Amino acid sequence: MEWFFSTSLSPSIKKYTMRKKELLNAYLLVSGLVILLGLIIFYPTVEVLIMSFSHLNPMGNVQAFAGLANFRHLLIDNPLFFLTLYQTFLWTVSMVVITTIISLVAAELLNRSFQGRTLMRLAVVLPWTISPAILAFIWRYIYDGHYGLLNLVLKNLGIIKENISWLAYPNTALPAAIWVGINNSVPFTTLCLLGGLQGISSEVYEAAEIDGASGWSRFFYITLPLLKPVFVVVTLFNVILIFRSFPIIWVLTRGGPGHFTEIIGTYIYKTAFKALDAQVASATAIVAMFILLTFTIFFIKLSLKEKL
Amino acid sequence: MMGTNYSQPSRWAGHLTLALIALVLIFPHVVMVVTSLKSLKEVYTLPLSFFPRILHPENYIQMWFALPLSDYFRSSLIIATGATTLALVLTIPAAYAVARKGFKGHLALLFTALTFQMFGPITIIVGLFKVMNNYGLIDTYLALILINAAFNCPLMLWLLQAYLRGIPISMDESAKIDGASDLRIITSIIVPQLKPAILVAGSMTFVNSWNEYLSALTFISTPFKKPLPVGLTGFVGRYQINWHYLMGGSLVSTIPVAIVFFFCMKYMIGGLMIGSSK
Amino acid sequence: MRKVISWKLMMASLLVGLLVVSYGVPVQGKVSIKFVGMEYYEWTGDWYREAAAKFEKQNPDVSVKIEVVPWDYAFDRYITWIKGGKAPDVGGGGAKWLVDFKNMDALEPLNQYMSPTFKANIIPSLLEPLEKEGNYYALPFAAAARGVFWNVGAFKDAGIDTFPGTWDEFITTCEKIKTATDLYPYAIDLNDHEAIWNARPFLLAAGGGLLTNDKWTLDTPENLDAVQFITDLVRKYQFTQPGPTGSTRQVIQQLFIGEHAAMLHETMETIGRLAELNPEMEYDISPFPELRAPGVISLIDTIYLFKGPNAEAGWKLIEFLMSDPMHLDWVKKLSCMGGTKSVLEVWPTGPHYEELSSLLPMAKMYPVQAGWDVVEEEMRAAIQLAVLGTKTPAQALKEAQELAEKRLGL
Repeated sequence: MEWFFSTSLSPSIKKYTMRKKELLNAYLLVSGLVILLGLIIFYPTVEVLIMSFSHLNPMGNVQAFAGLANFRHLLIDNPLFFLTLYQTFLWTVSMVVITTIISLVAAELLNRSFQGRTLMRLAVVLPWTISPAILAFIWRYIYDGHYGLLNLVLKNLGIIKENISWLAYPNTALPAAIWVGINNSVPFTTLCLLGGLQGISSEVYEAAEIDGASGWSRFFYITLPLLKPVFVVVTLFNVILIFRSFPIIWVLTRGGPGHFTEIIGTYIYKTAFKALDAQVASATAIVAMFILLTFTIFFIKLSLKEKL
Repeated sequence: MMGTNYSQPSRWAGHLTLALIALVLIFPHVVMVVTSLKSLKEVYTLPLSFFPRILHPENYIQMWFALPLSDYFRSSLIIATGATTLALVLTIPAAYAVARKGFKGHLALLFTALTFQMFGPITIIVGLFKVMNNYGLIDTYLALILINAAFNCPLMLWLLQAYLRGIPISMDESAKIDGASDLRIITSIIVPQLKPAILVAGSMTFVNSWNEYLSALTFISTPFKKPLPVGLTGFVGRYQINWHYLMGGSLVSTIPVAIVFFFCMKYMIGGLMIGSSK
Repeated sequence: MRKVISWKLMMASLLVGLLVVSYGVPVQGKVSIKFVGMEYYEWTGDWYREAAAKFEKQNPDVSVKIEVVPWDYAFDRYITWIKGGKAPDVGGGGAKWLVDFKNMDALEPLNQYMSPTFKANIIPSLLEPLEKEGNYYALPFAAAARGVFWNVGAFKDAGIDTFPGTWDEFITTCEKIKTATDLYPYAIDLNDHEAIWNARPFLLAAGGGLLTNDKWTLDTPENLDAVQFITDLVRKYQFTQPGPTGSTRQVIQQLFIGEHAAMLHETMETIGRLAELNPEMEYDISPFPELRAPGVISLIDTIYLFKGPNAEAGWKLIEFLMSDPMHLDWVKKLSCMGGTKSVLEVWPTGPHYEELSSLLPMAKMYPVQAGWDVVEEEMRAAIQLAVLGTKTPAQALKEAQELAEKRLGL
């Protein structure tokens, strides 16, 4: 999988000065992609930027320049936003950490050869076939306090005695939602790490075995360092994806109870479409984009560093 | 990598751990199956039983009449194949240009595109809504095709151009000398060699578009145009949630994706290694 | 060469195909109006279509297109349509949406369309909340009063004959039920949008409310009494089902129907559900216990006439749907009350139904006023936080008032 992260100019490209015709030709080839991204992503981003600094009329059109008023309203007048941001970070960090640990273990185990490995690989990938929104619906059913199956299973296993309304209480609702997200993220992460593991040649392991290294130290001193490029890139990728998550919380709790599962994605959606407050929603979006941009720059820098 | 020695207890511990992880991961699928075979009354009967007391396989037929599921399937198919096709058609030439020509600004393109993808629909949804309104594309398949293509292209570009760098330039060099146009080179030489990467990138785009929720929720209102993730939520009624149909419908909606994965998984893990320049 | 040509052709035909599919083919002919109906049940779509067919027979120069939308996304859809210039001609929906629709200048004022007899036939208490600046912007398309359904058998087992009329009696009743039976005394939904309808009776019965003299008032002594009482019911006495902040309307309904809860605050439709799912259960319906005032609430769903070139034809459709035979059939099937006096005279009838409809005179509708969504959300959050023990009721209400005012820019 390493080729995936390679951005260095490989020897296959000859360095020669491009003639104008060739340059135009190259631009023509990328033009379709550029137009699509320009119309669908760049243009709306500019709109959001403009709206975040404007007062809007009820139809959503710009009425006047608002300076930093929307940002002030968001950051200073609104204690909800910082709670949302805090919860988003909690959501992101715990999900990424736990997903990575589980995926690392799963990838390592799936890397070994054994009977039924294909079946196991399919089982691990299975949750990826379900849309995150649908997965959240299924878990909403599982988590129900009275008619849900989780309570049934846990009671039968003797782990709990009374029914728990998982989505009713702040200290269980967010972890419950995070678990659904982990369900959703593990397949992709496992596949990426597995690909990375397969890129480590067996000669390295054989040499280590000859030197007398045990299983655990092989893992820590050889596997992990060699896996680092893939590992770092996948982790950052997950951070970005999970930070801007929307469907899972939206379907599970809509941000409740009492705002305790609100994350930035649901906050933007609610502000934009429920409160019909496009200007504050835009301001929130700009803040979110800023944070995402920071992560992305970090991501690009690190993936370049690992390769060059 | 394969066949390194692990002690017996370590093997068993490994198998057990993996089995546990797999069990936990397939739990939602198990719930889908058992719930879809229950009658609605049983779903809401206390005390609960995990497995259906009486099997109701007819749910799988009745659910198609309770909601226009076939319409939702068709929608999802149109959007997913449309987005994948559009993405491939636009990205393959671009990947060719980036990997082969190394033209001025190609890195900027890669990084800008990737940054755009990272933003995701949710941050720009307010602007996206306004823009789609201006284009007159609210409540159209085209809107979703464009959005899904746009948000999958950057990663696809990254994947394709990286894979392409690993393919020796000799073949298309000789075709160039023969006077073939870029388009000819792309279609007859590049595309066949890119097949594994196209399968991986294409299948990821297909799956992401099939499962996408936010844009579908925001931009589609006509019932028959709804793709599956949005359409299936129609099973939530005011007084009851038709869990049995919802679970059955969800299970069936994962089948196309599972098929795509089944065919592409080996490429995703192993096959890619063959083409890379190692 | 052949390969390249067919590839291009494939691309082109795919794009053309996609465009055709997404834009559709326009219909020529007579005046065409679009009616958007809320999806109450699986059969409501068919009812709308049959009604449209009947209307088209009587009005051959008008054709009606029907679209059915689930409640969950209906408001979003309307906003999307209005913003996109694609508003329907007639549509059903929630009463509070009136404020947003009117703000976007999407509604036709109705005084110019209503004949004096038509207007006089609408139940005044249901029409009054829909009035803005001297004109009316919606009509009550369905109405309901809510009362407390109680399981007579369970009450008997606990040694209670009559339903409590005051809050003190209510506490005693719950105590007895909890000791004598294994049912939850009072099922309450504090989870989502239903939470406010579950809470309003408490607020009203305590003599409070959310709107006073056109000002939003969440933090009042009366409201505090109400929220404290709800909090005590959940935390101190544990008279409700566990985890009410996670219980949806579907869940508490099923609990009552399955005889796992002894009391449920609900509407007429529940009578139908009980007849269908648990016909042997003995139950009664009574008004909510009072502290200082009655705590009976009413809810209405409304029908809107949207601005557009076909408003006249749209009004004809509304008149048709509100006419006696159609409106009566509609509310009968929906198992709710009508918005017209003529229909209320003949429906609902029968045991249980009459108990509920007799509550309509003293029932209070919620204020259809700008800012309701924010107020509702903050009030709900306050009650949730109080019930979860995160804040005291006093703290929660104070912060809810401040937050609501901040968010509304007041």
